[in-house]
Amino acid sequence: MQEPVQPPPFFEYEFLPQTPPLTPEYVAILDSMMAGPWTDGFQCITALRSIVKFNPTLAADVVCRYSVAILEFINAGKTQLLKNSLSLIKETFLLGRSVNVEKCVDPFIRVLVKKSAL
Amino acid sequence: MADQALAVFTSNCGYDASFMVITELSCEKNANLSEVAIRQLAKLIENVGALISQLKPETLQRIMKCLTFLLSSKRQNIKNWALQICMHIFGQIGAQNYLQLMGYVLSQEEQQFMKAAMETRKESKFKDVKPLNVVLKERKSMLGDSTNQMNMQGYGSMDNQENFPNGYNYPMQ
Repeated sequence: MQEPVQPPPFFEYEFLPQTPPLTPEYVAILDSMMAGPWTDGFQCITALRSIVKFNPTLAADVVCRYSVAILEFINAGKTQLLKNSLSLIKETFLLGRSVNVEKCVDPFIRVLVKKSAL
Repeated sequence: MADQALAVFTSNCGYDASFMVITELSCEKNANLSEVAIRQLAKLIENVGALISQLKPETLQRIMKCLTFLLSSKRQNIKNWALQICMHIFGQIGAQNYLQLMGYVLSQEEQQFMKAAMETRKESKFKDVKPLNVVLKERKSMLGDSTNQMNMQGYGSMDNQENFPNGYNYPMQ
């Protein structure tokens, strides 16, 4: 019998772990995780949230780079993944007054409004 | 969670792109979607305040075109939201600037339509409120003999300015 997959832990904003420096190698790891099973995707979203928290100047670029994957996660039907992805979007928009995150508006707002209208 | 993210978005992200996307969604055929979007538009405009005039001309044009379109909506609540937003912008930037903005971005027909809608709103909002001097005149004429009774109680007639209890002559308009 197959054992149920344990969901990875969800971190509140205050308890997000520090991320390693954003080197090309680390980006490659994130890329491969995004394409893996949903638990890897979940951990990747947590890593992106950490980047947004600890490197706000990189937030817009990093989140935009993975916008397609994030949108897929939002529509994947996994509650944990949806919660983590929406947290990432919320925390990115939270930086809006200090950092320019205008790039992230177009891909995510449509989905947020559609979700809210359901 | 999506609502929370939207709330954060409207309070922190008053960018041109935000207005562009939200106005586009406000004009969607899906009524629920349109209503959620127009609420976000209202919040965005409220948060931006008088800085709305610093948005790009294309953005302002899109906002005004969208509002004109929504004012002609079949759904009353959408119309009301659009009117409230128009009135809010009007209040924020002033009549002169608003007229200038309308002249800059809207066609003659659209301008007339928006003006008419806003006038209706103003009239309906204040239609029950009569000016105070009219109310006082009406009351006086209705009171008739009863004013004499008031005189007898020491309050004096409204026409006689010297009879106020504290002795001050209040200017009557």
